[in-house]
Amino acid sequence: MNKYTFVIKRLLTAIPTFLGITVLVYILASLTPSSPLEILFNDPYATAEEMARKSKELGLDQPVIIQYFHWLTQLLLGNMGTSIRTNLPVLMMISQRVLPTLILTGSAMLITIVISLPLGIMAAYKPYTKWDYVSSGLSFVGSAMPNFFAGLVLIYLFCIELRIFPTSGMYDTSGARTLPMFLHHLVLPSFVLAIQMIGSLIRQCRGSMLEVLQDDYVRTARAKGLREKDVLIRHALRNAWIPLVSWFSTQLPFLIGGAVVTEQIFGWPGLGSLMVQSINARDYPVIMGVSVLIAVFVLIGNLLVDLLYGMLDPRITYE
Amino acid sequence: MFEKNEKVDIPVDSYFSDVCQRFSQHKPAMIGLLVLITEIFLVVFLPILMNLDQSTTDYDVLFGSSPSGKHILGTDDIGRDIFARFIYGGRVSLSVGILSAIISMLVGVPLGLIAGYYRGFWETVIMRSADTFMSFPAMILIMVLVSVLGPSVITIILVIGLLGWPRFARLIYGNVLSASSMDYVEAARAIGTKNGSILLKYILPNTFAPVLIAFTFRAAQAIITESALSFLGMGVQAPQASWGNILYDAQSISVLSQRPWLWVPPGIALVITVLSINFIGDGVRDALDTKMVI
Amino acid sequence: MNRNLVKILVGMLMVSMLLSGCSQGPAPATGASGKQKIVTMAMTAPWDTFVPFNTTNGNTDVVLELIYDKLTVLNTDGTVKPRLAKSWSIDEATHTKITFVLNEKAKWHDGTPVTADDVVFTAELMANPDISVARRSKIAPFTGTKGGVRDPGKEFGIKALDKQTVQFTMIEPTGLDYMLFIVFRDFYVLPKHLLKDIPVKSLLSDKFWQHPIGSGPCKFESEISGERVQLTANKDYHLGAPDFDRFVVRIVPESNILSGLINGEVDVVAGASIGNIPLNDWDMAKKQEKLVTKSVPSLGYQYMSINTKRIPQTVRQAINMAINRDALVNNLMKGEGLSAPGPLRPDHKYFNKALLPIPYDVEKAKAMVAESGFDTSKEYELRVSKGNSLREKSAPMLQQDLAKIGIKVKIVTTDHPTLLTASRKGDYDFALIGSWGSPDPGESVMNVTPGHINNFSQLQDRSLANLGDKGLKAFTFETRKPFYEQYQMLLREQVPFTWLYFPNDLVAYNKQISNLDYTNFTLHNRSVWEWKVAK
Repeated sequence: MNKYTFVIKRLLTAIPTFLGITVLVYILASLTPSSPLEILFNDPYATAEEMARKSKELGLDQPVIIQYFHWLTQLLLGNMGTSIRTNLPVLMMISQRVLPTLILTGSAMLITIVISLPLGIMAAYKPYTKWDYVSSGLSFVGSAMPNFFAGLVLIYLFCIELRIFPTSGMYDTSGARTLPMFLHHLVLPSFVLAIQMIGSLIRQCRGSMLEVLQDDYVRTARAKGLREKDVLIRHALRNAWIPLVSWFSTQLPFLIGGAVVTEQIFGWPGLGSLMVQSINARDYPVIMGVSVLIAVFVLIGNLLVDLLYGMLDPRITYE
Repeated sequence: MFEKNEKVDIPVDSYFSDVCQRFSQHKPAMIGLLVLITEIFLVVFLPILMNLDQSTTDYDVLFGSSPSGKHILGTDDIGRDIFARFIYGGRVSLSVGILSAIISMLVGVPLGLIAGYYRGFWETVIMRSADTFMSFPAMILIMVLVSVLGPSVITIILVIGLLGWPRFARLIYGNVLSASSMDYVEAARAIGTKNGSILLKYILPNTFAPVLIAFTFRAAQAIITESALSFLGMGVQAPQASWGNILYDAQSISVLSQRPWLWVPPGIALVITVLSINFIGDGVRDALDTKMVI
Repeated sequence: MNRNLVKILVGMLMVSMLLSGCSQGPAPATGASGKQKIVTMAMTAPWDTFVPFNTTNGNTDVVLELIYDKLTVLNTDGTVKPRLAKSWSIDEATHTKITFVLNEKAKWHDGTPVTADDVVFTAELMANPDISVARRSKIAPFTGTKGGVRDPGKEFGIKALDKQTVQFTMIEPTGLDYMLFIVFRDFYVLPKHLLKDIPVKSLLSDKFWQHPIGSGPCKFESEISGERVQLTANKDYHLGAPDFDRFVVRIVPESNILSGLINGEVDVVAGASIGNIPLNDWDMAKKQEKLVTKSVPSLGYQYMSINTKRIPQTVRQAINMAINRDALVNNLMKGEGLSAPGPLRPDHKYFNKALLPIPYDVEKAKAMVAESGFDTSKEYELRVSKGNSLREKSAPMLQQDLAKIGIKVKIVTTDHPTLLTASRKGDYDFALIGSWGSPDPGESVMNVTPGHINNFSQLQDRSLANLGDKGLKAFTFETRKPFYEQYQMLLREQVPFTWLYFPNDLVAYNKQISNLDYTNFTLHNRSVWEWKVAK
């Protein structure tokens, strides 16, 4: 099977998964003992007639199944609907929030890789030395540290005591929006989001490197007299990549879940905070829109990971 | 994991005592176990021993008072004893961790067994839905579910527990697949042993080790998830305390900088608990790992 | 290979950062002096929309009030000042016609003058049955509408008499104060010349709302969804140019507000319980040299709604007597509030002094519950919603107060929509709810009017509503007062709600800003054009 048929096959099998997620979220959301109207008409002078009119307009008076199929057909036609809370097209609202979340999660991933890979490799390369103890200790504490608690501690340290970083938002208020300013606001949230992953990746990296380092070809490489650096990077790391890539794919949902919390702490205007607001306002179209996007995001991520396996290790064939 | 096992073990008569011995040599795991047992003991018995009351307002002292003889960790904003709330909060956090992991296991293991052993239709249905659940951030599903069911300790245990099944199912599924092709299973099948007995007698025991490890992982994860939910205001709700919602109340710069007794104990307790559970999981992994015996 | 991978990842990240770093922000237009005066206001939850009539969210009003003009400026002391209208009057003979004369200097942000036609156009939109209008009730009092929807058979009650004069005709005779404080409070005028050609069906989703043009003191510049709205000063504002160049409304988590003020990320808080200093941070805020702190008495109140279908009147009266309001105010709120005898503050001009002192007698209350034969073996539910930490914390204290008179309650915390649904349907026992209050004494009447959706306590008896009606149709303070005094007494007797406290608005702002009056913020009156900024 070549790469393309593999991709097509995977995409086809992703369809039921995707539908499953939408059905699940839609049914769950519509089961809530309250409707978006309550918040839209949260006013002492709201009238029952106007609420009934709005309910009809939104189709909330119809059975859930019909509402779902209506939503689904619209989605297939490329229409994600209009937010009940803001009157804006859902697509537009989401597109404004995608970039901040992507950057937040992306830079958290980058921080994780930059910190964990060297530590994990060194821990495996020199097991049972100080290197190992320090990085293993770090990894255990990191993965045991809930990110909101890390957030509290870091806000206390860096925003209140040292006053190095701002507490919230993406830019300051000067009106200019420059890259350094943006990065300055990004440091704390992305680090907080990274902490748990750092712990987990160090462990994963140490484990797979330890295994690889005992393999024959590494011994052979050493015996050939290659420099240790080359042995580590050219031979060992290259083969240790595969479990690391699969680690990445299992982390994706956790990463997004963590982003929800992190965005709340730091007032970061991403998909997570949009989701929290929408759940609180029962804004179904947006809840569904964000869910669809995240589902697509994760499914594509998994597909990319599968393709990466092939790139990293030519021995793997697509089946 | 810090110990390098220098001596080569000679196979002992009993597999179980062998495992126990290796586990007891794993220092971090033993420390973790000790800490966890102590914690469980404290949250179960301390309220009775010290006659702790987490919900009554003490009008005799200032609301939000500093630690004193009467209130070891002071009182909260409505005059309740913080130490009592911290201990009761531990009850909630630990039971969320353990109970929801049990629920995940009870749902996931049978499903994994069915999928792996019977294959075919059920395999597709079960493993596809496992994929669905695993590829979607549990946090978001939990948030939606909690808003449907209303936040309470029981809902949260149920929700976290029920959403944790795919990991167990996948693990078991993989194990069953490899175990089914083992000679002794083939042999059992050849002599006409019933499917049910094969599953229970030959396959299930083989999955004990990975399930135990996954269990510790889930319990730790559940504790973190509960506290994160509480932190978002969607978790365990007042007047019930949990470590997460005590931390939620501490989100203010005055509390952070001037009243550390409010947030340091639950924060540290949370980290230590999760750490201990992870250590135990690690110890179990090392102790059961067959590779180590050779 | 792996190095390339990292390169690709880093590259993608950098590109996206550059995109967000540079593309959205317009370059700051520095003034002649070189330095810009920027005022940043913080609130805790985001605005929803820039469509003024299709929201009921106070956070949205914060932004709307800056971009659009309302007819008048309302103060909590009951006085009314000109805004878009320079004068107004009610026809004394009939009390059914209100006339506003608009300020001829008022201009839209694009330079076009604001005219009476714009006001009529806005009213027509609000009465249009094909548009979703959450604030429909605000157009319902006028002739030519039925339940707030245009009745085509009848002449529309809102018309332009000339370029600057607009007349509103009411169905029922009503007092001017009620109209100004309740009906016109959220009447934002929209530009006819920019909206008239948009088909009604697609009006709400039109691009106009993504870059709204109003006639208010600030011009819309840009927004970051869920994070900030960035505005520039409308230097041509007819009530005077604001003393700042930019105004930024930012969403800041409550826990970060004080640190934002200290770091200078935030200059003022939005107050009015949508952007306050948390009580926990209050002492620390007061110690800050660069901040001015104010504990502002507020008209807003919190109450416990009691389901009258489930809890008999004697028991409700007993409950009203059993609540330790002093503990709520002095211990929980550290004195930053006032015990509530009813919906009106004791310093409200319509307050009935006979309501004081608030009865507090636990023993008597306990006896009343015992005698009434009320089922005390059952556990009742006290519902509270998340989002107001003071209210959440008051629940366990109320639980203990009720326990003292033998009523066991379980606290059920949910989100606000769930609580609203339950209270509107009457599917609850006790629920904690709040209101913004008003200088008009009739503000709470809707909540005790049988048949109204916000009749949370499920009252059947119309006597409270009738008193409110009479008060509404009396037009002077002297004639209204007796009705509302009776109304307050009857509330005390029937106890559909037991009032708890008026929380003070805890606010802080940078010393560089002056001449702002927080007392009126609850009425969506921030009058930013009067602020002085010394930056």
